[in-house]
Amino acid sequence: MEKFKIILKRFLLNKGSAFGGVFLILIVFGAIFAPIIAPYDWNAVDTGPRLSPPSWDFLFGTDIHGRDVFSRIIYGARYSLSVGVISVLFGIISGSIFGVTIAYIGGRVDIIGSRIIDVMFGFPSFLLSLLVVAIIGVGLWNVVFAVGLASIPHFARIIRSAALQVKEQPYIEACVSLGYGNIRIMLNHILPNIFPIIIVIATLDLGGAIISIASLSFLGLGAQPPEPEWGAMLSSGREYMRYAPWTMIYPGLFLFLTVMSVNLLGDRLSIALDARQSIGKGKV
Amino acid sequence: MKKIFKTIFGISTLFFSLSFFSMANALDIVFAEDRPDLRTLDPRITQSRHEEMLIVNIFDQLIAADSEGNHYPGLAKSWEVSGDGLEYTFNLRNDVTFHDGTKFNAAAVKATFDSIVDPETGSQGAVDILGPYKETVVVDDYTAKVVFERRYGSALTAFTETELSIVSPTALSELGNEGFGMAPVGTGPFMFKNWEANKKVELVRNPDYNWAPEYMDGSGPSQVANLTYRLIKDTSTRVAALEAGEIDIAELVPPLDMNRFDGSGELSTIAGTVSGLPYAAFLNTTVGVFQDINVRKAFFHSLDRVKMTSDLFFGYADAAFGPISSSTPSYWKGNEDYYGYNPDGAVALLEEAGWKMGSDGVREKNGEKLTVFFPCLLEPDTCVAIQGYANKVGFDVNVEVVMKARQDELIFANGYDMLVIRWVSLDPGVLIIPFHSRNIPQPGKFKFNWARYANPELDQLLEDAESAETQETKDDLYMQIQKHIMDQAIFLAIHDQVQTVAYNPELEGVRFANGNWQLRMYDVRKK
Repeated sequence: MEKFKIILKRFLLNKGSAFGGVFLILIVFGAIFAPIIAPYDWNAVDTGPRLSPPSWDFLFGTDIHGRDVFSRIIYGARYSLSVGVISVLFGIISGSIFGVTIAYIGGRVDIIGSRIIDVMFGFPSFLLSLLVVAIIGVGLWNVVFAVGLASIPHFARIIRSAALQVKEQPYIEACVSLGYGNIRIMLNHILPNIFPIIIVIATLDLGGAIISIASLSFLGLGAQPPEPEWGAMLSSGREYMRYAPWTMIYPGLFLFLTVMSVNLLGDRLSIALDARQSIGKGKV
Repeated sequence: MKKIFKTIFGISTLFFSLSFFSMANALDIVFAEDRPDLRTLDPRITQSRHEEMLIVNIFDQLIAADSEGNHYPGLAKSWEVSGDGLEYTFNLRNDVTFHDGTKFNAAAVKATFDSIVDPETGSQGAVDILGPYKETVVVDDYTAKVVFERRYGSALTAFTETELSIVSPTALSELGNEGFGMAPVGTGPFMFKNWEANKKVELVRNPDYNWAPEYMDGSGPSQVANLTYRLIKDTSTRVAALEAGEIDIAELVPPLDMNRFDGSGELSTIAGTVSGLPYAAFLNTTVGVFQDINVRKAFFHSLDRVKMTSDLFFGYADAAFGPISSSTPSYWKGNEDYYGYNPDGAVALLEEAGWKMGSDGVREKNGEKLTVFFPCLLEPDTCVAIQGYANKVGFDVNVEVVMKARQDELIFANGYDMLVIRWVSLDPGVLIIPFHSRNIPQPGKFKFNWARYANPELDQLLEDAESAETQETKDDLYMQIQKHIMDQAIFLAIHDQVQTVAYNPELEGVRFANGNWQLRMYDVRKK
């Protein structure tokens, strides 16, 4: 508990992470309470005059179909945030299983597993997700899967090396000599010890995942109309950029602020959770 | 010494200005075309208006036609039709050569038409345009007689269509069908030079061209020396490139930009209302919820096509109601009395068909949802507007913005509920392509009856109309055909197609080909 307080303190003392935290809380809050906050139905055409500029009635203006951009962005947060989180969860869980397993078993399994990771690293992860989408088809959830899949090698490599260190610790040897099962050792003794690392890399990766998914949606491979995913909104606003810039500016702005907040938070988290930082110093 | 320098300087300046002068006579034009996924430039095979955008400039037809559809001598100096309407005898020009040096003659005409009807060729458009073709008889070197099985009322118009361009038989036998599509050889004002997949196609002028149709302003070779087709899918990129002067002419310019250019004089514009099939959706009659005619009718009634069209096109296009656009010959006015905007009527039809409103705003029946899968290749904004309207009466329309390859896959697999189409055509005869039961797509056989509607009565009407003897019977038969299609509610017309073109104001002579979609670049010149 004492430790938690210190971590929290480190967070709040930093302007960046405080801003990131507050913004994210607002966005998550907006996403959860979207039906209450959004003034209009996000999917209703002709809510107002088409392409009307921001006003008190339509905070962020309306798009070509007369839909309220503000309502769409609020609902879009549901898509953009949840798809990012789910894709990272998928990547990190698969990556952890893979990384911890090969590290723990070691020997030939480790060598082959590491080579597989190396081979997958050969593809830029964005290309890898494009490839996966090309195979399994377009759609928001396919893109989530693709981006998650493409992030596995990255996670697996870091987690493997962390697990290798933990594996050499005397308490693991003790577990082995006590006759604990392999799975029990991996789940109960190795994983908890590398958990801070997992949290940090997952958070650092979240921003990237949100961007990747938005990019794929922008290219028309992810969210399909009328889903108000931010990348898809950016894409559909493109044609009217000159006449109705608000159809692009606001989704872009929210995407940017969200990803920036996640990254600020992630950076700070990696410092706050770093065991080498001496606990108790006020300023870090 | 100074004098010598001066002289040298003077001479070289003179040379430079001379070379500039000759360049003014040799224009380099860049045209921005919106579809990057061109597959073939073979007029006999294609049905794509985008591929034809290039084909109209590489090939000539037996009969030339201007943008209004008036006929002029083309590769044929004159022609006559036999009394029974079965034989068309063409008196061909004897001074025409293909780009590869092959002489144009009656044998070339025969080779072209015979290969179109050969199933091996895999013709998608031309084979239908050629109608009840029987054979071509080479009477002598420069006289060709085309014989039809039955009377074919639209034949003369058909011979003006880009799809029936005459191709070089030499190139065809050397390259084969596939190779020819990648390096086409015709008799037109421009010659194929180079094609970078998904990027650009380059043409150069045909220096021997001396057979321009009389409606053209120019004669002899075109003033455009190099004609580059840049394939730019993204609309705003296309417009930005146009404004930056990077390209000279762009197609499919958004209505809002057309408005602005018209107002400011920054760029010249032309807009053409296209005849043929309007932008419309086929409703698949063989799978899913649209098997029920009442559901189809309800879908029709749910859309306010007039408002939708004016919202999306800002006055540049009109709503369409019938299977063919109102500018197409034999259009039936009665189309406009069908399926007006009537959401209450739509709801009543759905209720009657047993589709009850579910809690999520989507209707259901026996646990099945009223879901429509709508792969959208053309005009995503229109697809979204359709989705929005249909949603109000309880349809759940899943739009997926697709590329051509994905759409083809879905067509072969019969994996869609509705698909959009538009078709440039000069004649109501085009209706046989999307509505005859022989044109229902099958795996490996790409055809356009996407409603998958098979009805012997309609087939018979379409065939009869093709060989109608008088204009009156033709109009009457096409009226019956349009009525049949409307009664069945299988083809949901949305709006007239419009081709919006903007170009560098220093240019003139940009003109539409017949049908008002493709551009003939032959006459383009500096003002």
